[in-house]
Amino acid sequence: MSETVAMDNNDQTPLLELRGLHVAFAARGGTVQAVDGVDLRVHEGETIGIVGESGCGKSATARAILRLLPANAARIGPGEIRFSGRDLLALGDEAMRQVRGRKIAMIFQDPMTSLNPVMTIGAQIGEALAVHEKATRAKTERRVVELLELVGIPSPAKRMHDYPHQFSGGMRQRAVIAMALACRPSLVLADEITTALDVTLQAQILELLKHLSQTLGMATVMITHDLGVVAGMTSRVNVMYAGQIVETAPTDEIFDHPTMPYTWGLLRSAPNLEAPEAERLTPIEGLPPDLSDLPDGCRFAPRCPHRRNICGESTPALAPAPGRPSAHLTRCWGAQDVPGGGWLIGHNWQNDAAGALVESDSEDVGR
Amino acid sequence: MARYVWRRALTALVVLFLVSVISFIIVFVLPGDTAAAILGEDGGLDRERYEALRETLGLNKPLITRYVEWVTGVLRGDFGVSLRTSEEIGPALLQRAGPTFQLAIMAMLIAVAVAIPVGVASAVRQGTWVDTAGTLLALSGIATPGFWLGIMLILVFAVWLKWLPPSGYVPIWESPLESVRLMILPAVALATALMGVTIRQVRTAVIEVLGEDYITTARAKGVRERQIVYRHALRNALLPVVTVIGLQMGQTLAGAATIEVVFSIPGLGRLAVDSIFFRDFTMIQAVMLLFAVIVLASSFLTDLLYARLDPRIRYR
Repeated sequence: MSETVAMDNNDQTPLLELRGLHVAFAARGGTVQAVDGVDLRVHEGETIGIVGESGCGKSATARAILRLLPANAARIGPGEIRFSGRDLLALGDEAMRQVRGRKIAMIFQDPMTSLNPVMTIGAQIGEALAVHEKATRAKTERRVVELLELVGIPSPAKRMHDYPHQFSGGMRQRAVIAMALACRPSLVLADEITTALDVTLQAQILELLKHLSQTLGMATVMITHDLGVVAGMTSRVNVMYAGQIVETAPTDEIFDHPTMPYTWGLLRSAPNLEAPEAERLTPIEGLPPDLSDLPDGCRFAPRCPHRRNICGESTPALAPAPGRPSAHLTRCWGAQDVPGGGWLIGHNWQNDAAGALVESDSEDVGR
Repeated sequence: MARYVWRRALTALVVLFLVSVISFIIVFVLPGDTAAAILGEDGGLDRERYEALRETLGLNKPLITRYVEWVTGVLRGDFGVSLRTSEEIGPALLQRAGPTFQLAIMAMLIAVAVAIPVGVASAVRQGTWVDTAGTLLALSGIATPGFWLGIMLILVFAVWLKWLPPSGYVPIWESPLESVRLMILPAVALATALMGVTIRQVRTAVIEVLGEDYITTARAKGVRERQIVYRHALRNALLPVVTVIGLQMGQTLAGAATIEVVFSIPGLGRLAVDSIFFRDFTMIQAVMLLFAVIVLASSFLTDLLYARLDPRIRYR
């Protein structure tokens, strides 16, 4: 693959740009650094993915962008969140409210809990319109019907008077999407929107969102733990681990040439129905580190089957992967051409047998 | 819905039966009887007069006979006559119910009108001085005995400031303004306990609801914080609060008894107290039964209101 995948066009101002974003939460006995220096760019109309296990800072990043984190428990900064050239962190509360829903919308994980149980679907979608646009009741109602039609809800004029509990899970998520699209935002943050749905619905909802963001020209940030979700949807993938981006590359590039063991682990843990039954799903051993008590050096090192001494001693930077397009960055000593590192350059990860993940006990391959 | 009402009505009948039995028995556990109360200390010594009076009052018959006689009467709408004043109990209850209802309704309105805004403010500004002040108000409301507060209110607002009349009662249809003025102090005294409990309930419920996902959804839409609290949070938070207010109805009636004594209001509560002092068994039984009916009715109304507020609930 050649340089054609370099999507990061530096001359163009991105729609959304995070620069060294930090988010800390107050916790018992100190603070937890949930997001630790994240850089991210989303261009107009572009769809990107943020992928990682739960608790790695994906949702905190998204909520920080809209400043939806509880003010008394979370501190956003240092860092910058630039949207259309403005620093969102510098906005007053009222100016920020104007951005929410109108410029940047968010779709949440669980459609069962993200709708108000005592308000009709129509009222909740209509409210999204009413807070930002002054329109007559009749006009709002027409827009609500249009929006429900757009997301594929049958007989919308009737169903808009239903309450959330009268909708199925898939239909609720469609309604939530309609709500997010109500004011035609230029950016949509989709936070694990398929996680709470069953597999057949997941594909439908993803297809719907893909179709809508293309036809409406919205930029989209897909947040997920499942690399399968971003395949075929996003132009770029950012892999997050313990509050940091550990690998970022155009989507095809990351699927074809992932460079570091955490990404390999995520790829391996996506269910692969074509593989022989025993190898279909291989989880990453262990759990993400406690963010209030991070290991020295590389944060993934304690779980990494390829670790060497350097990994526990000093922290790798997010740097270009040698031999790969310049848009491909990786945070791994093994993948970087530095003294003492680079032992994973050109490593064929697909040959790592499932059971041989931890090199020290490579004898018990069986499991 | 119809089935639900039927089931509730049947349950209510069982409860009423139990209440009638218990009220009947409790009265006989109490020392002394009506005849002794009527004759007083001296008359009690006169064995012959005492026995004669017991005979006329029907106190000699076996317990079961008297219970059956009473219940058949009640079912026909005849509560008998008061052992103390010889007046018909049915009309007497009706006459006494007016003041008590006015007192209870005004107290409830005051309690809810104060508790909702205070509870919401405490929840929204959790951990600030507003919250502390709200909590303090709630706890003092719960801890202050109504009768004591009633006396203090009379002292301050009627005796010292002379803003309001100290006691008495005028039916609301005779002089609405005077009736309400007379009822303000007792209603406030009665309201405090309910207010205190409700403040705590509203606070807890609002805090809980504000942590729900749909609140974050509303924020992400750009809804104003005020609207989030009043349109999204409050309606959901009121669901458990409505239940508590409904359940407090019994407590409020019990509180009304002492308040009515303090403020000389001729209501059901005072009637109950007077009847107990005089061992007016027929009256006590009727009042207890009526209280049970009121409590059952208010809990039924609470359930209906709950169903109206929460679209997910359809009683079957």
